[in-house]
Amino acid sequence: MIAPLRDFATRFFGLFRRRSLESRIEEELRFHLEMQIEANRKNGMSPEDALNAALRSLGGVDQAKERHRDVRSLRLVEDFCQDVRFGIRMLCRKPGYAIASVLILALAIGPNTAFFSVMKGVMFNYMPYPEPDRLVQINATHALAGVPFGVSYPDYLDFQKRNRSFENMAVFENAKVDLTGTGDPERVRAIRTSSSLFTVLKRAPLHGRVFLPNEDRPEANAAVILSYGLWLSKFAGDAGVVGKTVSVDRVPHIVVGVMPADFVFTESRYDLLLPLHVNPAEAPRQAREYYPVARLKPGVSIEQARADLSSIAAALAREQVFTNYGVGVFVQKLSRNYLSNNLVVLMQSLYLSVTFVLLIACANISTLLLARATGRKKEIAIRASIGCARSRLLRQLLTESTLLAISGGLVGIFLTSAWLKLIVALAPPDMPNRDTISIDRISLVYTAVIVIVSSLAFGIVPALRSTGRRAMEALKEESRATAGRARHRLLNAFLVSEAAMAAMLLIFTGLMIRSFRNQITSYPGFERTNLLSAFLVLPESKYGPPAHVNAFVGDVLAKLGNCRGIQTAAATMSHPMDGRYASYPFSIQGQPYVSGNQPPTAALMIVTPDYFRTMRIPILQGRPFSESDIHGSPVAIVSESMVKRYMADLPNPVGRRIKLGDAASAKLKWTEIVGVVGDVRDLAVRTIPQSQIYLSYGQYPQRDLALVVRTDRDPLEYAAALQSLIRSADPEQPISAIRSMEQILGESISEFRIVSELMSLLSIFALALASFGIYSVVSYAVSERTQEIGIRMAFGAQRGDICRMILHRGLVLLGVGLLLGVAGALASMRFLQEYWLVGVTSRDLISYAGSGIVLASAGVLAMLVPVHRAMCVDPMDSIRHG
Amino acid sequence: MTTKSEVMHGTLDLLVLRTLDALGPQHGYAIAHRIGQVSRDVLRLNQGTLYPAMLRLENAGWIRSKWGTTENNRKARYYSITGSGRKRLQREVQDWAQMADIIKRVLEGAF
Repeated sequence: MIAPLRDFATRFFGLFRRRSLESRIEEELRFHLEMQIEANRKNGMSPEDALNAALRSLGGVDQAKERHRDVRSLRLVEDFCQDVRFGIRMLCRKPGYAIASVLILALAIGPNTAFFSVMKGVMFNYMPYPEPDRLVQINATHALAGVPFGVSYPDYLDFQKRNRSFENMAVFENAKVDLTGTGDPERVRAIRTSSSLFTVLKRAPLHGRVFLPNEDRPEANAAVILSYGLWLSKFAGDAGVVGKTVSVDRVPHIVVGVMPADFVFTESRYDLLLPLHVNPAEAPRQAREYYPVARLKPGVSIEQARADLSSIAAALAREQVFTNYGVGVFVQKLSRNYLSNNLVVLMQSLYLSVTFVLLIACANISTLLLARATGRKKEIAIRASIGCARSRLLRQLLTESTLLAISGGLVGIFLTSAWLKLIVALAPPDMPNRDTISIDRISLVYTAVIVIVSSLAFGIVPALRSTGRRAMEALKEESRATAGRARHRLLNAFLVSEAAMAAMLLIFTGLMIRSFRNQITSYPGFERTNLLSAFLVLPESKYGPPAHVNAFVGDVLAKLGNCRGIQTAAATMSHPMDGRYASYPFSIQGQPYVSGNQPPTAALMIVTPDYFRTMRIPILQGRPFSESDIHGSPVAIVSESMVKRYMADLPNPVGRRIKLGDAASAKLKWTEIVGVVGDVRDLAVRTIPQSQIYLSYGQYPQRDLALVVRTDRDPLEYAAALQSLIRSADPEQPISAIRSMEQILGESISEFRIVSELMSLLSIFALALASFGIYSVVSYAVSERTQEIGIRMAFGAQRGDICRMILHRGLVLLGVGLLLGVAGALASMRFLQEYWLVGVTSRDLISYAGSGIVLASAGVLAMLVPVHRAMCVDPMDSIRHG
Repeated sequence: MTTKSEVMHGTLDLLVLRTLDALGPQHGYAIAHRIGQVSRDVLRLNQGTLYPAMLRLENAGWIRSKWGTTENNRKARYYSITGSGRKRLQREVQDWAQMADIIKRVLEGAF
């Protein structure tokens, strides 16, 4: 083995043989000294001289030992162990500081790691499949289409046959099906997939099995696999569900398996997996509804796959000119990048807030360490004077900071799980990856990183300060004034920055809360209490002809009308909280559309006559729809905004005619306006245009409809009645999403609620930490100025004067911090503004003023104790003892 | 560029190895004494540097050590040279000889 390597190895093991090596060198040196003394004696020296000469020749025993130590093991490591031991002793000497620092840091690290885990789970595409980077999704593209879309089945088959890049491919399509035979009929989301999906993703089911290749054939016994969510909600998590039979679209299927919670490979949640049976006659090349996924062959890169598929697509474009001309292919990693921009902003704001809390905590701990350093001045100065290098001292102090940080991190991780439970409980039900958010290795690594960065952040300044040249002169009786001034400036800076960050956080929170309040209390244009809603989808097989639809709906509404406790009921294509709007351009008779302008558009709603009464939307002019309209000429009702916007200069909107679409089109008929109603809007204010046009449901029956029911009491009490009523009208008709309007409202603004709640919590933390920081700084200032205060008092200053003096300083700093915080908040408003602020501007006075008051009060409270101490200073004592 | 300590190390290493090679196993004091003798006290080195140097040589595997007893029945640590130590000594001696030769030629020879 070459010498340097051997040397290192021996040194490494020398770490563990410290004691034996230490005793060895001592014995050797002792022997050496004895021999040398003997030799000196023989030469005639006196015993004393012999000893001194021997020591001299050895160059000092301790130095010799020290040099020995340098060689025998890895010095750095030994030093580090020594630092740690010493550090622990030092921290235990003043446990108050240590405990406070650890707690403060833990409070800050807890939410930091929690939010990181959430962000990681939600945003960073954490896919539970082996080698997830080898998975790709394939879409079709076309120059005229803005976004990629699905692939057609024949195209998929060609890709599968001709590609050279994938070891496996699979394809699926989205569907909605009726699930019956287990509890209430329900309309659920399904994915029809080829059995190769499970080979591509390589994930085992939770229970049962996945689809077999022979189940791809239509003749096979119909199988179905449940999603984790559906398994929990509809089958109560019973593992015995495997083997049971359910009906999917009225065809019996056997449940063969249940997938784990994180088996997600597509944007939207799904409830069922079904085998994909494609009838070639029904899947022409133009029907682009299929979504392939594939796993790359080992050694093939995604770029190679792209090139490969592109050439196949080009070949298809040549061979199938009528269907594939201009159709390209788009290959990308199978990642879920469907996060709405709003969710991203939410995550970012929360993450920023949580980082603020951490920064405030670090400033706090730095303050504590600086204050503590005063007490260790002498110790450090002495060590420096006997030859300790500054770097060694720095290492020692930084080791202590690291010990604090590590302890804080460990305690913080305990708090993290509490935070995570809280966040997941608050989260909206469709937040992606909800079930898989947890503390894992990566979160722990992140915590370790924060710990190290924090320890440097809060430790470096006190360490540098304590070992600087000025500190070394502490052994001399220094003049307090100069030595303390720089430290004071630093502490003041800490106070100001803590106050600024706390202020920013408070301002953000204030704006969020106000925004949230506005949403809850604003009037949406209809009466939303005591309103029940549900969705129905009538299958075409039964309700093809419009007359059938009208008959069914009429039957249901009549039955509802006869129910006790139900005032009125109506059916509609979509209601304001629905989220599904179609905006249509329309034309007004007599107002020809001038090309080049934006054509008038409005949201289209199709409603039964009792709709306005049920929703309590005010009728401003004319009349609502009536039963007789069904057989008459087309009628429409418009909203107030629509009139104001597009018919302002026409005297009477009632009686005018409008047409959906182009005025010249012969297909659509002119429709007479028979009434004007108040506007409705959904509470997020953004999605539904104010201009609304209502058509009569009887004239345009829809198979995809919502029911709204006005009840006497709590609407959910009537849910069961509604369910059975539908069953009595048609036993096989599923009804879904029976909820009260209040519930729907709650869900639609759930994002706001979460942000408000979480930010409130964080603000409280930040406020507490900042208050503690203010308390520390002012406390320290008071103790440093004790002598000065005593002198002032001796010269006649009253307690009130002292109080004012201390408070004045503190309040000035607080004020500066507040101003900085306000400036910071204003500057960063830009990226919050768009979505999150409803009904409040970014300069909302109340939020800013409120935050200022809260912070100022907390600050003053924090200063009370030190101020009181200052006022109680005994002049004689302080001057004498200083 | 060799630093001063490297040169010192190198010289000391050479001396220790040579001593052990010539005299066989010795304890630390004897080595120090011998080096002082041989160099006629010109190299009156700080004896405290000897022990770290010998530990370094031991770490590198060129000498080995173990406890033994002196003639006076005292306990002392005896060092002896190893095979690889001998090889190293040989090479070092060669290097030194070469260097001395070069210097000699530079100082005396034609330019």
